[in-house]
Amino acid sequence: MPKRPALEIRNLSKRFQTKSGPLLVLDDITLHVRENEFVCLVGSSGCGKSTLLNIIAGLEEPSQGEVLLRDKQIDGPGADRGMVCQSYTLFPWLTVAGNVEFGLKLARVPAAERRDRVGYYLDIVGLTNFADSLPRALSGGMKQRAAIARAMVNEPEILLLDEPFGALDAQTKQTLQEFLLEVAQKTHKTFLMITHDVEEAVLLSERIYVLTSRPGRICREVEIDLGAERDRNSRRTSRFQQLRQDLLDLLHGDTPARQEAG
Amino acid sequence: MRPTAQIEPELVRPVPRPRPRLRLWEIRADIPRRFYLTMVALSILIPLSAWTGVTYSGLVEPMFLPTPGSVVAAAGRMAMSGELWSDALASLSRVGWGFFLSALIGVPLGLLIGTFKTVEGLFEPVLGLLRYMPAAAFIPLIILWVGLDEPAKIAIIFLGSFFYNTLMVTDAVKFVPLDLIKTSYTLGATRRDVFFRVIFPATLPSILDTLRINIAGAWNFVVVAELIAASSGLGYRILTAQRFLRTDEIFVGILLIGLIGLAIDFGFKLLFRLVVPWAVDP
Repeated sequence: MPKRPALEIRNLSKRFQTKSGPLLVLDDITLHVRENEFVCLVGSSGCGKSTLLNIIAGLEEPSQGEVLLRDKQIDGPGADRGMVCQSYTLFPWLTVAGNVEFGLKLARVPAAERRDRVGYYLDIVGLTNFADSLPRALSGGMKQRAAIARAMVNEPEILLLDEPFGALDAQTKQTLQEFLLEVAQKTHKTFLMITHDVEEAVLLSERIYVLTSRPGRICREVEIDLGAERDRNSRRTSRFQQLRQDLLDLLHGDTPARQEAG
Repeated sequence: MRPTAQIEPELVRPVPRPRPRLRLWEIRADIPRRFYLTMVALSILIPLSAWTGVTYSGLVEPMFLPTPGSVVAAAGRMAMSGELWSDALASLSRVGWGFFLSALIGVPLGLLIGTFKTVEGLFEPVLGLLRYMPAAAFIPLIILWVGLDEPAKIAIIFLGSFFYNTLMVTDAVKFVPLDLIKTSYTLGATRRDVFFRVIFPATLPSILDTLRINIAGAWNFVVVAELIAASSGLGYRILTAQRFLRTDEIFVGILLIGLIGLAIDFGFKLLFRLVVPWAVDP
C-alpha cells in the first residue's frame, strides 16, 4: 500500500527579478515525498535545486504553486523541516552536544529529555566521544554528521539535505554516503536530498527526480529498484551501474532519453 | 657486508654533512627563536643607544631631547609627588567613560545596522559621512553645546570612537555566513532567536577585537580631549610641560600613555581568551 505523502509540491514556479527582466528559475514543479521515503533531486548546477529546497524550508517564497507538508500549506521556516547545508554550519561557539541541543532548547524541551535525545542521536551519528568537543576540532565529515544529528534531534517531518557531502573529499564522501544509508535504514525518517552526484543519488534513494537546467523542470522520475537492503556493495551490482549510467545519460542529454524527456 | 679494510681509505672518511643553511629571509617562514629574540633586543637597544649617544655627547640640547637619565629622574619625581598617578587616573576615567558610552550605543547599533536593511538605510549613509569629519574639529561645537567641564572631554572621546565602533561591528555581522542563519531558522529559531542566539555570539569575537582596536584610538585621543580647559590628565600634563619647556616631563607623559595603552590592549586580549575561547587561534 502506498504511504501517504509527507511532502507535496504542486505546480510550483519561481521567478527572480533581474536587471534584464524576470528570470524563470523553477518551472511548474510537481513532486511528492512519501513518509519514510528517501528521495533525491538530481540536476546539474543552475537547475535551481537549491532554490527549490529553500522554498520547501520556507526560507524563500514560490512565485506560483504550493508546498504541502502533511496536507498543510507551509508558512515560513520551522523545525518540522530540518536542513543540512553543503557548507559547515555548526555553531562554532557551542560544543557538539550544544549544537545538537540547540533546537531542543529553543523548543523548551526539559533538560533531562534534552540530554536523552542528544545522547541518542550522537550515538546514531557515532559522535558520542566528541560530545564536548568544539566544532573546530572535528573533521569535515564529522561536522556534517553532527549537523545531521542536530537536524534529526528535532524529529522533523522531513529532512532536507542540500548537497551535504559536496565539500568533502572523495573518500570521506563515500563513507558518509554509507553512513547516511545506515541512518536512513535505522531511523526510518523521510529524506529529500539534492545532489549533482548521480552515484550518491542511486545508492541512497528510493526515487529520483531528474531536473533540467534553466529553467529547472522535472524531466523524469526514476524508481530505484535496488530494494531496501542496501550497503556499500550495492554499488557493484549491475543494476546499480545501469541506473547510474541511465541517469548520467539523462543528465547530459545526449541519448534517446532526451527525446523521451523533452 | 664488505670488510672496511678492503675499501680505499679516502672512501671511509666520513663525508662532511652539509650544515643546514640559516635562512633568515624566507617569506613568512619561521626563523630560529634565538635569532628572533636578538632582533627584538636590537629594536629596543638601537634607538636607546642612539638616544643616549646624541644626548650625553651634548650633540643635542637637552631642551630639545633630554637624556634618558633625566627622563627617569622626572618620572621618579612625578611619581613621588603623586601627580603622575592622579593624571593617569583622570585620563583613564575620561577615556573609560567616553569609550564605554560609545561601545554601549555603537555595538547594538552596529548589530542592528548589519542585521536589518531598514536600519542600514537609516543610519549607514549618515555614519559614513560623519566618520570622515575629524572629531577634533568638533571641539568648538562641543564647548558651545556641552561646556568646558568633564562631559566635554568625554564627548570628544565618544565622538572619536563611536563611528568606528558602529561601522566595524556592522561589518562583522555581514561576515556571519548566511547558511548559518538559514540553518538556525530550520532548527526552529525565530528572528529574535537568530539575532540574540546566532548573530550576537557569532560576532562576539569581532566585537571584542573591534573594541580592542578602537580603544587604542580613543586612548590616543585623550591628549586632544584634554586640550579643552583641563586641569588634570596625562594630556594636560604634557601640554603644561611644553609651556614650561620641561621636555623630560613630556617624554614621561608620552611614554606612560604608550605603556597604559599596551596594558589595555593586553587586558582586551585576556578578555578575549576568557569570553570567546572558541575563537582563540589554536
